[in-house]
Amino acid sequence: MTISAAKDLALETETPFVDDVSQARAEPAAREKTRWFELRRDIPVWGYRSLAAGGFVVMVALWAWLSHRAFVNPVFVPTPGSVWEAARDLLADENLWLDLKTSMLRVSAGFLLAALMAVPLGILMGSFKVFEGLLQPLTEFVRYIPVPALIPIFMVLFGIDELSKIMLIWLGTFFQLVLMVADETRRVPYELLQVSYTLGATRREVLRLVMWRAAMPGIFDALRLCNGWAWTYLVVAELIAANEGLGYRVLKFSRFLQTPKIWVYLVILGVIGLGLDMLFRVLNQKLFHWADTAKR
Amino acid sequence: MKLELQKLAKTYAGKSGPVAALSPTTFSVEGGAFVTLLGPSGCGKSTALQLIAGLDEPTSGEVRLDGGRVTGPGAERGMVFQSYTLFPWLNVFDNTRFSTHLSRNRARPGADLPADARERARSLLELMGLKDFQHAYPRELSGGMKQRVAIARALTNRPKLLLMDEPFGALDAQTREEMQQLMLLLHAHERTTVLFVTHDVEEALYLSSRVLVFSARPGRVISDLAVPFGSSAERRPELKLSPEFTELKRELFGLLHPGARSHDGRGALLDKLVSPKVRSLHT
Repeated sequence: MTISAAKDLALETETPFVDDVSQARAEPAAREKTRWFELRRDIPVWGYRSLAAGGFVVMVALWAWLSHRAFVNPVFVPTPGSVWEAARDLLADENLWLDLKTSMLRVSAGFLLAALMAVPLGILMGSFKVFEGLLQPLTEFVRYIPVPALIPIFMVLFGIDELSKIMLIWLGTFFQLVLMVADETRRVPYELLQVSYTLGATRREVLRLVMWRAAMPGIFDALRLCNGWAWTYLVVAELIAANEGLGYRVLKFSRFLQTPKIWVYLVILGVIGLGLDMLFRVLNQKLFHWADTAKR
Repeated sequence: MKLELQKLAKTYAGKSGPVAALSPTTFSVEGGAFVTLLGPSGCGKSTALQLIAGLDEPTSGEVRLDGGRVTGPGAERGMVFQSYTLFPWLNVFDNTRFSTHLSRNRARPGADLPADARERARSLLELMGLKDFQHAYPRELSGGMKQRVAIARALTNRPKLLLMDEPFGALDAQTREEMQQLMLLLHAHERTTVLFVTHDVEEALYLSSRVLVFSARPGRVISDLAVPFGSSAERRPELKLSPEFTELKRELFGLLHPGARSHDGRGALLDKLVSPKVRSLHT
């Protein structure tokens, strides 16, 4: 990087032979050989992208091959052609758009509620041992209760409308997220707090100006992971008296063994997940460009 | 400015009973001095610095600054750590003026006006050779540059006392020497009292007006030495080569390594490291 190269010049004004050195460096260097299997080493971007695309191509090819074998029951493994036809039908059907809208709203509401509660609470738990002691063991306990097991209770508590579905998604993500946010907050180097105190900061100022700022890139990454889980809990949530939604529709298709349609919906869910993940990553890089790359 | 340590001691609760980190230590530092605490690692010199900063509480004894007892951290005792402690989300300039945003520093009588504080931060950065890097973020800086920003940040606030805990410990030899020269310049210019912790004999002698030598754990002061090489402004790197400097260095080295250990008694161990094949060649 230019800055570290200029470091030597920052203090000293007399640097003889600088010209010689830069000329020597300007010589065309031998092209570095790409090593594909070096531990943790970067590979060229084109290579990375082709591998990513190749993974999908191989999977689809494998599927296509398998679906045309005689020993495979077409009910369980439909051919790509039949899935494609099902997709054309479904895209024309307004139910798909209704499902998308409903599910998006449910996931967003549950996830946002979880995030709004978990981030402040997690920061408190990571900052103060009192809150950690009070809430951490409790959270760990609740976290291990399987969400589907709570459906009857949630139906009694929140009814069978939207609220119970949203709360179920909230339940699936909130307790995980709180613990992750607390961990990220605890990962803020203690020296960063100490130095703030020696600069004259009060405890409140350390919390307000340093603690959460330093933890934010990590917290944002935790949000990204949790958003993925929110989508997986969607199917569970739509077990409760739903009339539309992506998860509900998948369950309904499976009841009638309409496998091609199931696949269409699964692909849609995958694409949404991938898109949101990428959105989170891009936002992270924009918002926290100052953070070490390892953190992103 | 006058700093007094009275029978200051610190004991930690270890797994197998209490561990004495610092034996009762008494000394005082006058304003404008550059005092170094020199000792082997783990001798309690960093503990002493933490206690003076108010980041840790003493087991017994007390720290007094201008007569007032130190009970917690405060802006009049700035600190520079060995690890890099810049706020990664702030650029160099905003890091440097971080303290000017804090309520206590604003409320302090005689505090700089915001515009003046900004100007001071800017001049400090210029003095540090960082004028062109004001908008850079910490992750773009080298280790030496990060420490220069950390020093500038601590000084923006005009502390009475600057505490430095092995600030150049993680830097390479050449950067270290540049930083030492810069420290002398700053001390000559700012007249801030400095309390500097190091285990490097040469660094201690070159920078300070006074050296306090600590023994190994539990640490206590075994020697209090006035360094006779003139003011900070007069010191040049050539000083390190002079006979007087070398003589003092030898003396301090002797204090730090009483009966310097040779590899006596470890001959048999060293022999074991040689491969059997080679050993058979020898015999």
